[in-house]
Formats: sequence, structure tokens, C-alpha cells
Amino acid sequence: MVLFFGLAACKPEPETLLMPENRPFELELPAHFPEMDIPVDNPMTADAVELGRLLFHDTRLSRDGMVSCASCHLQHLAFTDGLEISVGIEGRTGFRNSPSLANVGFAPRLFMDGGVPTLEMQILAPIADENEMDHNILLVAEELNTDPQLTALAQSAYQQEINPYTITRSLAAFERSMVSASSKYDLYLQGEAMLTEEEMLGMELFNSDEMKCASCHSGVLFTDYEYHNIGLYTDYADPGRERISLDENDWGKFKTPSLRNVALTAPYMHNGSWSTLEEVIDFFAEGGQPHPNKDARIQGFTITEDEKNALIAFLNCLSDESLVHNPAFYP
Amino acid sequence: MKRKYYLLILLAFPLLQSRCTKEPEPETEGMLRLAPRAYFNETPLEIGASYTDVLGHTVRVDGFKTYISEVFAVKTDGSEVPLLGIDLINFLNAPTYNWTIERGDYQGIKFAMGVPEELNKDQDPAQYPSNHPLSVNGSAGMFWTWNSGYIFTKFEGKANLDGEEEPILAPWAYHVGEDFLYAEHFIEKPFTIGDATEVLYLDFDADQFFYNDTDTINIAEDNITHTSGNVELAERFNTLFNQAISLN
Repeated sequence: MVLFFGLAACKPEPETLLMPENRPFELELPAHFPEMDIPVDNPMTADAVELGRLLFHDTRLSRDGMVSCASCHLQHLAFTDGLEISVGIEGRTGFRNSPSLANVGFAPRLFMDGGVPTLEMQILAPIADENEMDHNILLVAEELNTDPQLTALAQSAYQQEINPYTITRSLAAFERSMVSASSKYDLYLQGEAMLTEEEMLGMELFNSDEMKCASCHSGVLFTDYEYHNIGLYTDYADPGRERISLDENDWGKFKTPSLRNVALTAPYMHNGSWSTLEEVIDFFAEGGQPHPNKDARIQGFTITEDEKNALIAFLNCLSDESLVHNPAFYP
Repeated sequence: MKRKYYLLILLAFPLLQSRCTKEPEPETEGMLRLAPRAYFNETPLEIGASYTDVLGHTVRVDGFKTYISEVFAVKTDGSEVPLLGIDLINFLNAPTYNWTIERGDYQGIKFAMGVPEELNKDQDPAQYPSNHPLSVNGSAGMFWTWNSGYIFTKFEGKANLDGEEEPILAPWAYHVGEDFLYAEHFIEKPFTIGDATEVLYLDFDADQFFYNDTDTINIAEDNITHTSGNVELAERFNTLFNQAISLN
């Protein structure tokens, strides 16, 4: 009998099982990567990231319960959706191509026009957008608060219930964990892999003064995070950055997308208008359409078929298999 | 020793007595009430009701919300008494504000329509408690999630552009915001804070959001602005809107 009570006393309380000690989440960034700015009010913790992971895959964020973040950001496509224009609830279409979330934690502003300054605030947009989730985040929170697993994580991570604050913070924390830093190119930079002759040629072309790819797709993240008009159209239906800045000189400018995992993120451009990397290279080789805001660097270039293949071979080196197969991002 | 205490008590007694019989301090504060009201063609505006605009269109108003901020009572000596930091006035159920302020003569009310610059762009509504007018809950559709900033004024509904009463199908919406549209006001309206509650009305003549002596917005042509996408119309509406405010 004494032994029985002794065993009972040692059994952990249920609360302990639901709410383990919340520990810091260690972002694993290689030495050649920049530091990621983590907001003071949203430190990366295991429970915050775990809550974000569950919410990322939760269709209750949408009004009809059919669409989650993962619906337009599929892991096997480097968190894009393969569509020209993303589709929300009831088959409604938005107006832009789904951007990759790989390394999104490094972005100084969100959306292709930079309309939102933080990941935390970005999350408000798709939930409210009538063409995406078309929901009210207050109603989302009300429903999610009936889920003991989610409320326990919210309490552990933020000492609050599920509410707009904890929804936006935890999803942002999860998205910051989506680091893509293990491509063949990264291994090459770390001296752990060799590029083939063709891939080396592609890298040289990419960085060449004639092609100027690296002047915008710059640095280890392959983006300058600036807004450029590349002459995709003479008359843009989508104003791009002008939508935010209200400056007509910004008409048709869009934030440079990162080229990491670019082989997985077709179709390309803000509206998915090019299906393949070959088409994109041909477009830049031709120099684009005339537009008063077109970046002066878009002037066209000559490229042989072999060079084009080499450039694509190099771009393929930016794909990160460990990102698309990482169980930490699974539902 | 005991004698000394008696003397002290005797000396103190008249002082205590005089304090007990002293006249009550005069009141130094009084009540000021400010009630926002909206009208259309001089009749009280009802959300969901239809009206005829200056060009003869049948206009149904489905929503009218606006941020008011930095409200002060201005005394005759020019000093300012703070009344309200910021609030969202929803004319579906407009609030009435009551303040206890210093008695005396005042020359008018200073206020602004919109959200002050330091609270507007790139500010996260989730940072506020749910009862704050800038919170996710409190702002209720007055925050542009795609452009991280507040809608200062939202005036919207549907219209019949033929001038008939039915059907009312054509949507119209004026959503104005951006720092350059923040509008500061001082309206001279002398009043005195004393024994009785002083009641002021902040009146919005909604029919004049479409026209005044200097401009007319034809709802059949210029019917939608989210500021971005039609800045010129947002500026025109914002000018008319701010000129249609009076203190009575």
C-alpha cells in the first residue's frame, strides 16, 4: 500500500504533460548567413513555434474551414503553391502569385509591394482578405480557444489565451523557423560540396556584369529586398509598390524575390506569368518591355543555349531538400 | 508637564473649531458633454436608410465610422485642457463623451479627424488591449491589413444612380486614411463650465460629404476610393468631409 501511494505521488501532473517548460528555440544559421532580427516581444521559443506550426496547418483560420496557410504555402514547393494566382475560400482568386516562405524571417518588409513591416502584422492580412480566408481573427480566436492543446501552448508561450496577439506571434515565430540554408550552394560555400563545371559556369554568368542577375538577386539570400520595375509590361495592371507609396515612380515595381529554391517555385513573376526558368531567362535576355520606371539594368543580353543550361544548373543548386522534407514543418 | 498639555489643547481648540465651521470650498470643476451627431439633408442620419444626394441619386448609407483624436477644450487664455486621446465614432451607435473639467470660460474645442502619425502607419493593432480603439477588436474594419495603417474615415453604402428609389445596387465607398489626410480643427464656440452640464454637439452633415461651394462628387462617376488606387478622390472626399463638421 505504501508503495502504491509512493508511485502515485511520483506520477507527473496532467498540467506538466500539457505544458512542459517552454524552452528557447535555437535557430540554426550557418556562418555565411546574416543574423535574423527577432522582435523583443516575440522571442523564439519551442512552444511559440509549435503553436505556430499547428495554426499554420489549421483550416479553422478560414471562414469556411477549408483553407489554411499551408493551402497556398506547400512545403514540397518551398512553401509556394504552383499556381499563377493563389486561390482562397470558395475558389476565389487573389491577384498575386504565392511567395515562398523560405527565409521569410530575414525580410525587412512583407508582401511584394512591402505594405507590411513585420511577419506578425502580415498574418492579419490573409485571414481578413475576402479572397483568401475571409474571416474575422476575433472569431478565429474564439473557436480556437475551445482547443485545449492550442490554449495550453498559448499559455506556455505567451501566458495568454488564443487571441490576435498569440495567433500572430506564434505564426510569425513558426515562419521565422523556415530557414533554408542547406542547398548544394550552401554546402559549396562551406567547402562541403563541389559544383560541377556547368554549375560553376552558371554561377559566373549569374554574377557577370553582362547579365547582372546578382545586382538585384544579391547576397547569400539572393535578394536585395528592393523594389524594381523589370519591364514586364508597358502597362501594368498591378501597381506594385505604388499601391503603398502612392508614388507614380513606383508603378510596376515589385520586391526582388529570393532565388533560393527557385527551381521549386514556378510559375514566376508577381502574377505567375512565366512558367519556366527558361522563359524567365529569355525575357531578361530580350530586355523587357519599355516602361518609364524600368530599372536601367534591364537592357538585355546574349546567351547561348549551353549558357542558359548552365545558368539553370546553377539555379538548381539553390534548392534545399532539407527544407522541403523537414518534419518540423509537417502538419 | 500636565499643565503644558492643557495649554496646548486649549490653544489648538479654537483652530479646530474654526476648521469645522469653515464655509465649503467652492466647486472648481463642472461637466462638459460632447455628442457627435450625423445628419443627411438636415434629418438625423440612420445607418441603413436611404437619402437623395445633391445630384438626385438615391443613396443608402450602410456605414459611417471615423476616428477623432487629440481633443482639447481651449480656455479663453489659450491654455488647453485635454479631453480625449483617440476614439472611433461608429454612427451605428455613436458615443456621448462626458468630462469633468475646470470651471471657467472656454473659447472652443480643438480636435483632429484621423489617427495621429505616430499611431498610424506600421503600428500593430494586436499590441493593444481589446477595448482600445486601435486594437483588432476596437478598430473593427478600420485597419488596412495589406498596407499597415488605419482608415481614418469610412463612409459607404449602395446607390441607385438612376434616381429611382429601387433597386439600390451600385456600391460606393470612401475609405480615407494616410498621414497627409490627418485633419486638425479648432472650432470657436464660446462656452462656460459651471453648475450645469455644458452640452456641445459635434455635427457631421453627411449630405455635404458629396458637395459644397467648391466641389461636388458625382457618386455615379467617383464612387470608390481606398485612398490607394484613387488618391485624388480620397483627398476630395476628405476635404468635403472635414468642411462638413460643425460644433453646435
